[in-house]
Amino acid sequence: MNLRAAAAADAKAFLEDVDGFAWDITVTAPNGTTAVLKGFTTDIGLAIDPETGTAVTSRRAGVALPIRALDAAGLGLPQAVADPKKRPWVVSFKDPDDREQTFKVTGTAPDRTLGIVTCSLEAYYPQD
Amino acid sequence: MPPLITTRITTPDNSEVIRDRIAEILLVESLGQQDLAEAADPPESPDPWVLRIFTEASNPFEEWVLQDEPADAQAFIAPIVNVSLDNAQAEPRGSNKVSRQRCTGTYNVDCYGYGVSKETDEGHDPGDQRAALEAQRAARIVRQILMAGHYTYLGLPRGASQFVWGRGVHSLTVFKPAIDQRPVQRVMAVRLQFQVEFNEFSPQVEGEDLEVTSIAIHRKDTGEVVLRTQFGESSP
Repeated sequence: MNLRAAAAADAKAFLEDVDGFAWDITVTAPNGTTAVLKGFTTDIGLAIDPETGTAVTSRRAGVALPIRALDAAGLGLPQAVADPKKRPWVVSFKDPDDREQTFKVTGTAPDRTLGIVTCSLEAYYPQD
Repeated sequence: MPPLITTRITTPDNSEVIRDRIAEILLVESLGQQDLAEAADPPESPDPWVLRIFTEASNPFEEWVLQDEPADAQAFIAPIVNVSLDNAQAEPRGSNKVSRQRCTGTYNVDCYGYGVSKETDEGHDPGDQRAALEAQRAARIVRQILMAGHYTYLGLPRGASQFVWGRGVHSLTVFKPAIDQRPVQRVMAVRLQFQVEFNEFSPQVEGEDLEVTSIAIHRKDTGEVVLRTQFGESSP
């Protein structure tokens, strides 16, 4: 295995390390295909305003997933869906207090060098 | 050096009065529009005309960012309007050096719209579009209220007590966050910059009588003009 392949394998291993920071993430494609994968999640309440450098209240959430795991689950690469006649890519995960949060994918940044995709999320309310 | 101003400064500046007046107008008219909707035949929902009005609030929409939408959501999702004074420019030509300054005040009337993506039978209701449309709808209501002919002088005193000379929308700007800065809850904002021309006044010297003087001008039969004066209690 060359170094690049080793780096990609390491990145997947880090994302799926259950003894590390890996977390269960449920990914649902617009066609209804769903799978529970392991990856990194973020959901923070403060951000730094890039213009002033000051901290501002702004909830930002995102996930990082191995592209290979998405392919293996038959999901493919998530992307933002703006068409109201389509279901979006939906991601859900629990916070440390066991509260389930559901999100819609609003932006995707695939890194095809290491095989990782990072998704920006916004709040999403499924129908009851 | 002892203080020369002998009265306490208790009256607000007209820039503050106008800011509060703008907020009052928006609240009163929002409620009036809701009453009109309910009084229509057939009655209509007042919800589209609900506006939550704030003044000088730095973060009026934080509950949108940190809380989930409650079951009874209408009061929660109604657009938020924040009125704040941005600046006031003095105009020397319309002013005098002693008591009155002619100013043009710029007020930021920020209209915030909220939207969260929701699943629908057909697909989903995009939160970003909902937030943008709500913010622009709130800005529409605000602009039409403030530019109504009834409020040319903001309903403030006319005549001898008048201090507002005109108003107008200077600009309307839509804020779009950068792609990598988008938050979880979609909040979009539209800013109306609203300008008002007004006078500002200031404490004045309270004069005191130093000496009472009277002067009467007379013409004698000879045509000579004479003055008859009296100083204080002295004889003329």
